[in-house]
Amino acid sequence: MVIVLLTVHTLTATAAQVLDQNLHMQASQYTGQQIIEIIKKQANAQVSYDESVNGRLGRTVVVRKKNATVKEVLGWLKADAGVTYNNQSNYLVLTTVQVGNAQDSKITGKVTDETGQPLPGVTVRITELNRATISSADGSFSISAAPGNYTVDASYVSFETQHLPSIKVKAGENTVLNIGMKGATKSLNEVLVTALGIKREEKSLGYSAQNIGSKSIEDAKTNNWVSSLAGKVAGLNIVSTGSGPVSSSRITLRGESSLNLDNNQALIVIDGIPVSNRITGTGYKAHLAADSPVDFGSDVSDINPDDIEKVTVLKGPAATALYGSRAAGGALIITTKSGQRNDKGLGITYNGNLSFDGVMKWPDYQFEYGEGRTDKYYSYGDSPDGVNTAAAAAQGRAFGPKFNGQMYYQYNPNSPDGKPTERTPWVAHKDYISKFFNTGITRTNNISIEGGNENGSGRLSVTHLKNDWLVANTGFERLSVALSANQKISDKLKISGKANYTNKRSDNLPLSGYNNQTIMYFMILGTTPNVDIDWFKPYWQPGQVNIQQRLPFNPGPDNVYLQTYEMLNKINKNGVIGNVMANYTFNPKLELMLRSGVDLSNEFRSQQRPYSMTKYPKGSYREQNVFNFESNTDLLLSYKDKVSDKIKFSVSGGGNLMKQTYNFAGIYADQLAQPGIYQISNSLDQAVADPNKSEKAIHSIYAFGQLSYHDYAYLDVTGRNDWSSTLPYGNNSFFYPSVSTSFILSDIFTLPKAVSFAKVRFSWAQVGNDTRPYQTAKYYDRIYSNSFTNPTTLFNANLKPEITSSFETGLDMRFFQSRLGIDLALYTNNSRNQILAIPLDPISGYSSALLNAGLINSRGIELQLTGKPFNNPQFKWNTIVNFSSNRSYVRELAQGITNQVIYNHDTNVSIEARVGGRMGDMYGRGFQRTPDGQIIYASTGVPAELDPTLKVFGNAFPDWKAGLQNEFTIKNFRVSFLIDGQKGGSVFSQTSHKLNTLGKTKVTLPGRDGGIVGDGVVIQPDGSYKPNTVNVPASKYYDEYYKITNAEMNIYDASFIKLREARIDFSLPAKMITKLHLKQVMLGVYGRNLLIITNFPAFDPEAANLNNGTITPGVEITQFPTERTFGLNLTLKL
Amino acid sequence: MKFNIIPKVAAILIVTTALLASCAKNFEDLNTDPNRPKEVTPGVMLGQMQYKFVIRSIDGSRRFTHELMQVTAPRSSVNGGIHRYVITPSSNDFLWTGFYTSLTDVQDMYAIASKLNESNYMAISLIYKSWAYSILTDAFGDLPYSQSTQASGGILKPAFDQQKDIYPQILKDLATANTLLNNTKALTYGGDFLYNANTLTGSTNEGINRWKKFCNSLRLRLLLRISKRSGEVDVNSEINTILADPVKNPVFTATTDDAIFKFPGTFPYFNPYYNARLSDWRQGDYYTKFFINKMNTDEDPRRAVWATQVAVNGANVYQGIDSGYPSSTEYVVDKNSSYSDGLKTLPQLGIMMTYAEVEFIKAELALKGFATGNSPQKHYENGISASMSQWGVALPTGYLQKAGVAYNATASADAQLQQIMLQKYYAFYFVDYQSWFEKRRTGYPVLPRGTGIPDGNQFPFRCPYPVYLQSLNPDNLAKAVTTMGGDNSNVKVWWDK
Repeated sequence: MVIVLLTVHTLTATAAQVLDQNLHMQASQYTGQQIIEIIKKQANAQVSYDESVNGRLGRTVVVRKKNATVKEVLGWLKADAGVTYNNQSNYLVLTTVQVGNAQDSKITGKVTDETGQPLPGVTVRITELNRATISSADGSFSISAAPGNYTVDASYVSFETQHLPSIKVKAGENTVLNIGMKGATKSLNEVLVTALGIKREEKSLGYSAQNIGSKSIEDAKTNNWVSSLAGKVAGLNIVSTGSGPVSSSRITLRGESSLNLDNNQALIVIDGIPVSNRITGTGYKAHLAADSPVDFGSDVSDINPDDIEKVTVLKGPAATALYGSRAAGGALIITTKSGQRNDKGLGITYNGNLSFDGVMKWPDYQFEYGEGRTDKYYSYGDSPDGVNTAAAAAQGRAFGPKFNGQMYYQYNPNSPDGKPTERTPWVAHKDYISKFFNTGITRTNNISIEGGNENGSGRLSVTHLKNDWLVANTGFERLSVALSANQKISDKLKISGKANYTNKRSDNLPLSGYNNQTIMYFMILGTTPNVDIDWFKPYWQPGQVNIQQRLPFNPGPDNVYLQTYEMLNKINKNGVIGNVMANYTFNPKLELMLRSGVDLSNEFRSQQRPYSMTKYPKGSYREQNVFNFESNTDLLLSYKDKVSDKIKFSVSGGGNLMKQTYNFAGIYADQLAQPGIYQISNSLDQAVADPNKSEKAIHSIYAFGQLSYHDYAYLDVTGRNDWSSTLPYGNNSFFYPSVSTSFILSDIFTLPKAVSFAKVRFSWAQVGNDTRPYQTAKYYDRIYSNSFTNPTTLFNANLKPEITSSFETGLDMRFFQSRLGIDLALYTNNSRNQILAIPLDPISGYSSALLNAGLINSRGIELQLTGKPFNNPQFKWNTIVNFSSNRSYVRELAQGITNQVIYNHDTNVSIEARVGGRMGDMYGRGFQRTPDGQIIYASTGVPAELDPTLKVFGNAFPDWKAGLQNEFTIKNFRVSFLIDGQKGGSVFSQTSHKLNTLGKTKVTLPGRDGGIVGDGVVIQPDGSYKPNTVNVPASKYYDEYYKITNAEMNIYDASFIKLREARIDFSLPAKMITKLHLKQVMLGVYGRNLLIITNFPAFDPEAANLNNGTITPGVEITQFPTERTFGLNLTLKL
Repeated sequence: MKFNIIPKVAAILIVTTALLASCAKNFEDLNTDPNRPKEVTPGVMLGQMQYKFVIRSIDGSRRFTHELMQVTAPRSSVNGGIHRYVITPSSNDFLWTGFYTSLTDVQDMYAIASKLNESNYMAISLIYKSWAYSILTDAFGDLPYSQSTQASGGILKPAFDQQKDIYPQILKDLATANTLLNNTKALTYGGDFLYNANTLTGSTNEGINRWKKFCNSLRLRLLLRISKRSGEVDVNSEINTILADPVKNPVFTATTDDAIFKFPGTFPYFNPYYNARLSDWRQGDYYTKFFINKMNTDEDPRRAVWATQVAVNGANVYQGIDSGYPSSTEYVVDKNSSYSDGLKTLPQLGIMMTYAEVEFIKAELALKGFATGNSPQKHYENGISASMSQWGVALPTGYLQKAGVAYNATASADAQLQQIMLQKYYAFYFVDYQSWFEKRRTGYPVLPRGTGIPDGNQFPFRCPYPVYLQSLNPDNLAKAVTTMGGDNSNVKVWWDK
């Protein structure tokens, strides 16, 4: 049923009490409608009512006496027409008398904000009855209640929850309760969802937790919702693979505590159910492997942001100890939207989003010199001017002649073989790269229906997203359906369920990484500033369609349009994440919860490669079916009671059964019999099967208790024991405890008036971590499809769990009625018994051995400042600043081992853990230098052979990160923006290395005319140094200077400042939307990644790379451009 | 509440705990990998091992031997370079780690075959073991042999053995293999790609016959290699024993006997270069003048199989570059001859040992007075024509009579040896490191010294040990270096001293 509010305007009642005004009536009876008219005219009253009232106003009302007060007349109206009223500041709101609830009275009223504006959407709840409603567009609400004394709560996002105790309801009388809400920079007793879905008041928590509301996630939408968390949470670090439309992210909280980088990612939990962040890779590593990775995303990246109500970030082990082994790296607890109970019927919301993507930042390309190794002349093929200097001779170099408009024999796009017949002007195509990229367009349409009554509520939401990405013929489509329902079966039993279904499809996702068949490789090596990208568009040789590609320039990289239109990577994924839950309340003190949830997905992928591509001369076709399943069943019994009014406690105990099943079935045809037919049956050879199955289970029991004293001192204790299937029988049971406390100083002591709230917290926790399945026995490795070889890692039948213990303390203070707030957290974590594959001398038969060793210590600080500098009715300004800094040090490794390579980019750079060093230290080679630091040159004029000793040239993780969020509300406008950045952190840039050696960037311009005498010294036979005087051509110089093995020159500072998000909202005024029969109309314009300030030379310093299924930070391997997004957003609430 | 909660709660807890305890027992089944076996037959191990060995050995040839032995030279080389006799410790890491990794399989296969009483698999294991260790020790000198590949037995840091102790072991293993090979039995579990000894033809296993020939040919190669050390090992009598009894100790007698892993060109056993990028395959290296000019003079038909042509003054020719040129030199892309594209998919590139080599070995033995059954000249000519037929080209008429090719039987023994070794050098194209080993042993072929080679650089006699040993096996490395008398490329190995 649609609610339509009919507002009747009259003059404002001037008298203090409209109910006491006298009315004069002539007739012996009127219709209800006439009675209203009389009240309005004679008492100057404002009256409003809804459709249901309107339906009863035709009824006859008998006039009991000619002169009566408004109150008396309204009493007749109730008796005769079944229409009652409540008086809100002389504003009469008429409602129907409920049949069957006749004995019930009502609490009615209006919710306003500090400025007196009506506040819609506020949840008003009678706590004793657990009965709630939502205020309507004009702020009014009404809840029925039997006579008695009640506590009424009113809560709304970003407002302090109001507790109104001792509200009296008398029989037959409506109680008017007008509620004024106070905005809060952070409400004092915000409810947070903690581990296992347990809701807790923030003030009682002894550890750091932070809420991110739906607005933050929806404000500036992206394809992967995870990136919308960037800059908003202290201690959260997100890097992106820059690998296409999905662009998978690596999420870490509080630095790196495990040497296995995959273990450091935060656990993602939806509605109490952990979600797999496993990325099933296709292709191999990002750098020059047989095939390149495609970013198909994960279950996490497929979560629909429109269905997220809030995300609670639990940062440390104390917060996540109840999740056990999987949450050692913290957790993001997502609560999806559920139906808001709305007595007035259904709530329908439409949300439409249209966004356009461009490129945030380009490398500093040069457009002054064209193709070639020599600037003497240019010739496409041998010509009267000389031998060929283009295509295979140049191999993508732009060290050719300067563009002066001179005439050369150049590529002829009009001839079939491209051979020139005449000289043409030598000019730059300044869009030779940018023209390839399109404007990306993303359309999202979401419609949700929600509603409920006293016994239950439900919500159904359907979202469709269609993305056309920056690269033509790439993008994806996603349909998400979310259903949430809860029902009170009896007074004691409540059941609820949530299900999120996702279908993700793409006809092509691009290949990422550095390889002949990747787009960004082509953009570096395949073309030069004298080339028009359109010349590559006919990508087949004339007459050889599907057989031979056309490569008019550098023959190495595959034609970029062949890549775009023929090398297709498809996906069709169906996934369900959902749970069912039953709560049984034995009595107000004892409750039992049973919850079972699944994360299930099945996806079909295929990759087709045409004939004549460099890596697969006869093309290839591959298919994979990937099935991912995880179930979790929890049983939790909770008892709460109080010893006295001061001492309250609760204890809970329960268990969890977790089971994971993964089933990967790949089948490959790596040579095709017939070109252009992409079917496994078209395999030239016997097709090859590549199966991979794994199963894992963890069984757990846990218990926790809370003790509170006076509501100002809290003590929490938790304990959990896990049995993991991945560890050997004797070692597979492990227990971890946590203790946390919180003290509300402002309630314990009398603090200066300026301090409105103060809390200190302390916590200690220990969490274990198991390992991957099948590590505890010897297995032969499958190789070349059906052969077997000895494994390279020596198994360990005595593995133990990794253990992380952490200590955290924090201070939370608010000043000046919470206009200013500060939240500080300090922590230290020790991770020991890490499961490491330590290197062995391969002569021994194995190149590594698994064992438990090592100690990593992480320390850090997190700070969040909140402020409300202006809080006027006309102008409000909310601001949040967060800052975090973390250092993770390697204290110990296995005995006799001083370094552990965590990741290497061939032999060019490696991320290594060395005892005494920091996690993320990047080792590589650099110039040989004299004792006073000068570069040593060879007698040939280029830098001498690199110093063979590996040195640290950077660290993959930032020194600190900070974010600044601002929100201004000016009448119906809301303006917000987010600036964030980091100091430090380093990235090895493959993009920059290759662009520089090929002369594509401005840094390679000096010395083009006349060569370069490098700044350095040459060793003399007597051991002394003399300045280098040898002049070498620029092409040779830069080729050597920036060569890939020179980590010193290719590792860059990744510090940056980004204008990450900006948004302007306009909400139509309440009066206007009422006429439109709507509840809310909001129009938003937003932008994302609008500005970046950085010295990082490639596309984006927040970089990582995708290697099969692992995201590795610190090394960027020809990332795609990062999108700069502009979007429009429309929200309609019916 | 009216009902009693306590029993219900207790019941739930008991059931939960019981459930957890019972499931934990099944964890061992759950944690058993369904994808990988705990035990294998020799058949599923053999093929991949053969393939991995040979793709590494031919890659060693292309990356190291060809540049050092002036078959090819890099197009551009600013610093260092094998062609300037700069042998960095990491030059042959891939060979060291790659061979040792496969040797783990060899060792394992031998153990499995022993258990199954499969003498042919045992013999094949021994032949691969001997072949692989002989290449490793000839390249590096002393190395872990008796303690290697035994991590599962607890030896994580194997000690090094001296070459003088390794060679007799290798020769003993080969002699054992020769007696183990049983040509009346098929390879029960299949898996042989080299000779397809998986099945019988009639009652005879032709594949096993060829394995036997490979085994004894390898014995001849290695006995000749250590001939300087005949005082310590009775080289001459062993050679005589082999030559005297071709039934018991057969060697290669035709190119069909060649130990060549012929890449089937289907997944997974592709020619390892089949998808090599142009820039990696032939735009970074050119043939040298030394190598290509003689072939031009002789109009050697193998040129067409091995090299690309380039247009010079309108004519398509084979043209090479200098080796050991000065740093300032850089050759333009695609203007000199390089590896032909045909080699990328050529099945017979997986060469381990050939009949041609055996003929050249016999030529040298005949020259030294061993009873090989033929004259040095006959063996020399057989060697040349065997190499031609191995590469699929016909021996041109009159080729063996051409000046520079024709055998000069009247020249000094040393001149005859030089002639034999030069043709052997061409026959060693893509045969691991053999031309380098033979150059070290005989001094032939004589290679011109490039003008860009710094004065101090000497032609290398061995390869320095991989650097990683310094961190993972430092004590044993230090002992080995002391015994060897240093760890640089100027130190001579035992048989070369």
